[in-house]
Amino acid sequence: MTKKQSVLFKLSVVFAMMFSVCPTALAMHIMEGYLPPSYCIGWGVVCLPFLVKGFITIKKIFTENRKNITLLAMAGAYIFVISALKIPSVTGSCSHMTGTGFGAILFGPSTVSILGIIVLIFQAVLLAHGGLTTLGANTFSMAIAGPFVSYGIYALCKKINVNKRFGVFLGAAIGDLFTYCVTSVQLALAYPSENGGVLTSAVEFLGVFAPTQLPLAVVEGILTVLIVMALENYAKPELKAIGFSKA
Amino acid sequence: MKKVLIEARDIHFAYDEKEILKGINLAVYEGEKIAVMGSNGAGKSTFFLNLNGVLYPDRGEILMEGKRIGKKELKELRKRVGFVFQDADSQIIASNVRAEISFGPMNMGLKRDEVIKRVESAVEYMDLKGFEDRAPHYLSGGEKKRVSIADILAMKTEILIFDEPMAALDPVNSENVEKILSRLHSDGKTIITATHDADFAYRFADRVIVFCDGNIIADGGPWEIFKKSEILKKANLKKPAVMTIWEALEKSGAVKGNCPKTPEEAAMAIIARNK
Amino acid sequence: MEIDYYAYNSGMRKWNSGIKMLFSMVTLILVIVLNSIYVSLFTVATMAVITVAVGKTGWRVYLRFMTVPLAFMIISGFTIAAEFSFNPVGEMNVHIIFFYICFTVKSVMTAVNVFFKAMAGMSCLYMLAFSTPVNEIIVVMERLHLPGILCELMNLIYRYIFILLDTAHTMQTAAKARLGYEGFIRSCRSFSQIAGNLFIISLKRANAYYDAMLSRGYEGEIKFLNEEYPVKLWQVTASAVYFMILILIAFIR
Repeated sequence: MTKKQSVLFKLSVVFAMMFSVCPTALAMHIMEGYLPPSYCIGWGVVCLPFLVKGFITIKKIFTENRKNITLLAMAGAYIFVISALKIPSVTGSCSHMTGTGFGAILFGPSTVSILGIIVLIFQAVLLAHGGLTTLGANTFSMAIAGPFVSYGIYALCKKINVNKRFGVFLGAAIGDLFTYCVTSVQLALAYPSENGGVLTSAVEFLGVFAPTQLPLAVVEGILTVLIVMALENYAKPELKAIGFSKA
Repeated sequence: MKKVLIEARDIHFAYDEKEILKGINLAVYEGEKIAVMGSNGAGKSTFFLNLNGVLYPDRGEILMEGKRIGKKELKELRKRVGFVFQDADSQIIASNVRAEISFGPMNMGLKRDEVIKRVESAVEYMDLKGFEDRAPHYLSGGEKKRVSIADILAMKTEILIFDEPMAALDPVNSENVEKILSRLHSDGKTIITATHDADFAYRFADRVIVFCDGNIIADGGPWEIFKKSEILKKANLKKPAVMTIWEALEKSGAVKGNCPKTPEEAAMAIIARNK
Repeated sequence: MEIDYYAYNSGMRKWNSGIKMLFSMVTLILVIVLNSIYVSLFTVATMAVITVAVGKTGWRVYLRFMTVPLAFMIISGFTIAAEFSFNPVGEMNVHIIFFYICFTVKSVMTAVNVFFKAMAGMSCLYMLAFSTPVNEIIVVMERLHLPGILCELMNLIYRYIFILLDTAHTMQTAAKARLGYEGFIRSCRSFSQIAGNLFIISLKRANAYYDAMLSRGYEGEIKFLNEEYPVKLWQVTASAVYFMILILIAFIR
């Protein structure tokens, strides 16, 4: 074996390893300690206006009807549990949904931003997915950017009269993809490439995460549609009560 | 004559236009042990939520010691009537036993010292020492039930309502709960408990109320109620085993008088008679 | 939810949760601010000792949890170290068909440094997570004046997570028993049915919980009695000394 070949061989082993490691899909949580301090604070600041908006929304929901506290808490717990359940996968590695796209479609993105940050804290402390110093960055990608895009696309599809299920699929899948893009950019900003700068680095991060994230986005879209269909089949009144499916 | 603690007058209640309670009249006297029977969906739980001030009747009124409870006084009702839910998991809201038991007393606006005292005494009463810092999700079914009862004890209500307290418990835990109910009664509490267990109702209660389709169809002493086969049939109730045997023996002339509460007592009575 | 289970049985359970949080969070901040591989290594080692020896978390469990973010670490570590280019711009270049994967000493060092910083960060997080149940962390946040609504939401969500997980597992087992997880398509269908069901159950549960809260006199504010363990002087001193050591390590190097 030449030196090059041996390096190649080693690289392929590394790649094989990283796809056989179980929680591949959770790879999009930026882990604890991974970002320099300025980025930890910076992303936190970027999140603030969204969180304030979310907080005001939630406060309004409470003043409308106090009963909504248990409902909202259940919604938060639901997002956590959905993202903790193993989803079916073709390759055999286990992966998970983010669940925030689904949440955004049902409850609206502002509410989900608050529920999302709580879920992220719990994921860090209970499952060791993500972290506390990276909470700002993760909140922005998973609880703000993704859900807002999901909701936007879903609302747009509804407006231009695209099939509702297709709208749900697009919303969830593209929201998921967007989360993955934002995370890649976040990593690239913190660790730009020496020669190519942030842009090259972003492309690299997008590239290495693509094999797990692209199929996952499609699966997330499909599952979200299936869940919405299941709900429409036998939970019409409940869905109406929370303001979904007025049509 | 005993004092009427709480009284329901012609209570009507509907969920989404479906009438669940169709005119309930009931006076509960101080120190009673009441068993409420009737099939699922007969309206027992809804009635309890009305008595406890969680639901407000569409028509009719609740009186607490003769005083009518309006919409503004529901809190008063919640302070004086405690309700232990059937499923402990739907009742427990805190993730720590001490915090959980303190929820009721904290809502009553008591001082911290008093809350601590009440939590401690409820813990003691329900034999939960050492569990104070545990999380409900690591407790067994029986332990959770005890916590859910302690929740209400800490509120020191005069009336305690139990919704099927033995449901989903194993025999040992059911027996424990029954002992707790008896002890609470002898400590001066007024007890109302829903149950499907005719044997338990017969030996425990001094008054049995039968719900059927939103109405009370029978109200009286256990012996008197379980004797009436048309009521049992209408409400889909079983006769207590000890009564079935006692009645057969009575027919054959082997025994006489009212049926004893438990098989053990019945056995003693038979032996005594045959001596 | 293993971490939660270990937290309730930790040897450090009876320590004041505020001091545990302060200790782990300040160390975490120092690790990323000081940005020194020696500080990171020292933290990884000491936090492991604290969690395993004092906290009595099994070392096998601890090691297993240190590998949870392994996939993320390998993928992104590799990306930081490597650069894809059409020209061999690095100090070590691997030619693959038409492009090069290039490594420079600097980029590899960055990757190694970030790797250990992340490990150190994880070990700080674990020190807290393996010793402090979430509800106690929420109490500290309440102390720090996090808005009441958020604390209430967190308390309830924490409780409900276990209720829903339990229900979800039961449904999954039932689905598996009826061969609902044979094959990808059927798995997807079973999964979404369970998820849909779970949603309805959670809505119903929410109503039941609200009734139960009302019946115990809830009036819009969830308040609990919380007993706090006292802070011990040695804990404060030890923490301060530890922070000093970390800073010293960073400056001596």
